[in-house]
Amino acid sequence: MPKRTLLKDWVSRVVGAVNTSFADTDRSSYGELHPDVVAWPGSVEEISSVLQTAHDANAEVAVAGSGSRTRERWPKRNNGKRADDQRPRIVLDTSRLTNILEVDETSQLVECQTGLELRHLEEALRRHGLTLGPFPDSIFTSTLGGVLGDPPPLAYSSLRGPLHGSCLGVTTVTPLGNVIATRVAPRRAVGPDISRLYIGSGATLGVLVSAVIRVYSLPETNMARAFLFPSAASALECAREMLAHDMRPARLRVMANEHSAGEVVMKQFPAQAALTLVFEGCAELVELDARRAEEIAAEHSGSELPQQLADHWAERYPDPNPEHLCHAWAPVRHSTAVAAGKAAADVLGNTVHGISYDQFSPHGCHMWLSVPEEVDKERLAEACTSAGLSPRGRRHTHARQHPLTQRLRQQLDPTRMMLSPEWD
Amino acid sequence: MGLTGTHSRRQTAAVSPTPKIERKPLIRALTGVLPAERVSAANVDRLAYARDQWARNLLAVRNNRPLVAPPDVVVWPESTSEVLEVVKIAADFRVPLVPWGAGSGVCGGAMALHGGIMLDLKRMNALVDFSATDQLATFQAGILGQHLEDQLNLRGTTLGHFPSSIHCSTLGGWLATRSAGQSSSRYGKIEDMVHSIEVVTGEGRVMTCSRDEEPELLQLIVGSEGTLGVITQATLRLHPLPATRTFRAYRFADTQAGCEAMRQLMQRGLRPATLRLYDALDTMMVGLSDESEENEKPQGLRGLAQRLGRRARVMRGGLRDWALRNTLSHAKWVSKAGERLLPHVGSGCLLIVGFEGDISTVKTEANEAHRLIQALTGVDLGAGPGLRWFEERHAVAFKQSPLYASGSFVDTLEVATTWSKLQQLHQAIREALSQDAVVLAHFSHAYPEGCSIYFTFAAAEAQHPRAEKLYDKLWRRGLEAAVRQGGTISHHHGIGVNKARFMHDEHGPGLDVYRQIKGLFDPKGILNPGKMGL
Repeated sequence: MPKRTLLKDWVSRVVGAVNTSFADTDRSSYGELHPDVVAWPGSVEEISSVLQTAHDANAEVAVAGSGSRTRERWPKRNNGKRADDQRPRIVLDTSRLTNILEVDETSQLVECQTGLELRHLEEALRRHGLTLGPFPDSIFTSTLGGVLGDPPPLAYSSLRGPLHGSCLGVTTVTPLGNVIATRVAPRRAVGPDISRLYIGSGATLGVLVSAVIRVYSLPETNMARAFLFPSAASALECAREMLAHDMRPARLRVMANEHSAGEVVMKQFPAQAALTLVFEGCAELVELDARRAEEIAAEHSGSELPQQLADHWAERYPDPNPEHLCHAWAPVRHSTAVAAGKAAADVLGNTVHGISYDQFSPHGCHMWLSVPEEVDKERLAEACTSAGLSPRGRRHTHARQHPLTQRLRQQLDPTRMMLSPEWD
Repeated sequence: MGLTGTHSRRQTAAVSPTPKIERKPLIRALTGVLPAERVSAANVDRLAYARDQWARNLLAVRNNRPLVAPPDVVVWPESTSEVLEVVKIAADFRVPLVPWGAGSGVCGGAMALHGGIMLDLKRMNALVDFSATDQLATFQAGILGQHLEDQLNLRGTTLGHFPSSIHCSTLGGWLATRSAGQSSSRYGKIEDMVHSIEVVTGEGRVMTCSRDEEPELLQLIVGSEGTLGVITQATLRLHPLPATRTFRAYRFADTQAGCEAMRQLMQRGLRPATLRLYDALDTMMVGLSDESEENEKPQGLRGLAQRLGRRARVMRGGLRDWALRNTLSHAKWVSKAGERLLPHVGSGCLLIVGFEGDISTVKTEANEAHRLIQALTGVDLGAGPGLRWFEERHAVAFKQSPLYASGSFVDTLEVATTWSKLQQLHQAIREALSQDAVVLAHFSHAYPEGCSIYFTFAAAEAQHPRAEKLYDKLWRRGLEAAVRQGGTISHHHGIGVNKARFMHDEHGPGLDVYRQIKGLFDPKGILNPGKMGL
């Protein structure tokens, strides 16, 4: 193993002295990582060279974006080993990779580097009359790389699907330094979709450098509606029927108080359930969908809530993820959604602060459980098991768990060079 | 007997030679796990499975060489556990195993290039589970497309997947090749419709993966054409049967204007179930109007051209063969003449737009589309052409034989790219092919960001091996043009043998990642060897 100073020298030569740091202040700003070197590469070639250098030096590499979700989750440095026995560590900070490489207005595609924060991308797109889509504001503090590397569960619209689903192609650098740029086409039939391997891989299979994302025209109009139902079952059945009848709201959420204290957003409506909708797009279709939403809600004993409240929820899209609460989420099918909420509530009792249902499709949705941070984790796990929530959902991550994916990682990164955040 | 010609030598060069397969012990092992009547090494069965519908195989048949790539043995499992046992035997004997659905693939993907076991899944055709509430259904992979759709229709639902091969292709085949149906602009391709799959890997394991649990693995296996595993069943996302369906057709001056209408329509958030634009020559072949309900009767040269087009479509027997041979053997001149004359005498380009679904949504979307298209100079032709297309939409695949019999050949090439590159891609491939073939094209499978182009090319060459050489040359030129213009080499037919040599151009170093994935799923390399450029 080369001396750490030599590694620093190599990295510095690749990305330039001004884009390399050995200073304690920089090294300590990545949580538990404590790297030997921080590098801010500016191009795919630089990343490739750094990874080859790291491979030759048997170093570990962590890719850091804005750090909004990973800062406290990196594997600890010492891990009980003596300093001399540890592998050198490099942080590849993507904060220089912020260029928008191309806006193709005709095809409504944007190619940009992955260090770009989504709010800056959204600002730039709006200047072209385009948008990333209807997503909660909290998403926009993340970088593109963060959202693609570890897709957050709320980056989803019933109209457009998940944000990472809008990715048509990626440029990525493998742990051995090879550059893979997938071809961009609306759909392909050319074997396995390699780009999907890198989306959600948490930078364990390679470094995402840039991506081509589908974007949309700014909506001609939008319209919010909110309805109150006597039970979670009636609200969920109404949501299911709306989607089965071809309606595609940009956002759809059911907040159920029936089995929870409803402290997240619904304190004023005890023991009931609310359904909130936002429609957007061309005026004729939006008006039609809003009118049909009223009809279908009425058929399920839903009463319309004041427009002011519907608009308020639309503007400040209620985040089921406030910081003082702990959460578990998982996909559920329509046929099991009500039972899953009840089963979880039976285990957790009155500690459940909120149960909400989001990410609707005609085939199911995601259920969110919100409980206080201090809730017993084993009890939460028991509640999740009772509710049939999947391990992946509970872990709040897309971390790769399948043995085949683990073995593929071993094959693509034989020296286990790429570090990934550790999740609960 | 194997494939011949430059094309095939290139494909098979990378594959290590398979040692001669000892059939007797292999059959003994197979009859140990399957009833004897579901294992066959009879020549008649081997002949039946010796080729799929790859057009190059039809040239071989025409030249009295039907035994293109016969398997050593054919098996018909009925369950996942039986598939698992067969895969284990193939691994133990180290013999190739090729999954077979209905054999309608057009790229040679289901051919037993190196012999071995042909695993026909057609007996695995059951509906395993159905949920009206969740709009999900699980089927075994061997079910025929139309049977699957019939079962769903009985339960008030549809998959929304209508490839022209729906009567002769299976669910497993659709998933293995990333198939697309004629309503893909509304319902998506098969990879958008699948919720989860069950697959037997070459390691001899049964694995399930879904959108929720292992989305990355799901999208690796879908499209892998039997090289990573045998898909045994799948859960699919359904839609309610449409309450209504409408069609309207329009005429545009050229493909550029028509494509612009398609683009704006998709980007406006409308979801047409049918959206097809035919180029000028294809429009002449298809015909602009319903013959029983003509909306306009053009006079002069344009009217004559339309009438000739109609006559050509109904021509029969020797006269048609003679006309075909003579037209196609002068393809270069026919193409040049067409380019010059069609803008003056042709009927323009036909766009068919169809909506289906809930009544009020269909009405609103159709009105919105009509307003948009008319503003973009589309001339309204009424419902006739759309209704006629709908009636005949599955008939296309059965028109090949007469053409081959006449001493010509025809094939289709489907590529895709983004809207901004679409016209250049169309032009480049047209130019590449039209030196030796008559080329028609239509634009279908439209998405907000781009579209597929479906080329039909026909050429005249009756003699072996000149016909094969010309066939290979046309494909090489067409795909080189696609790669040069940044398009993808396949939108929905897959790779198989035919496009394998272009896999590196398509994927670059990503192909090495695919090879590593292959090594994990199929360490002994028994699954569908010689395909996909691996």
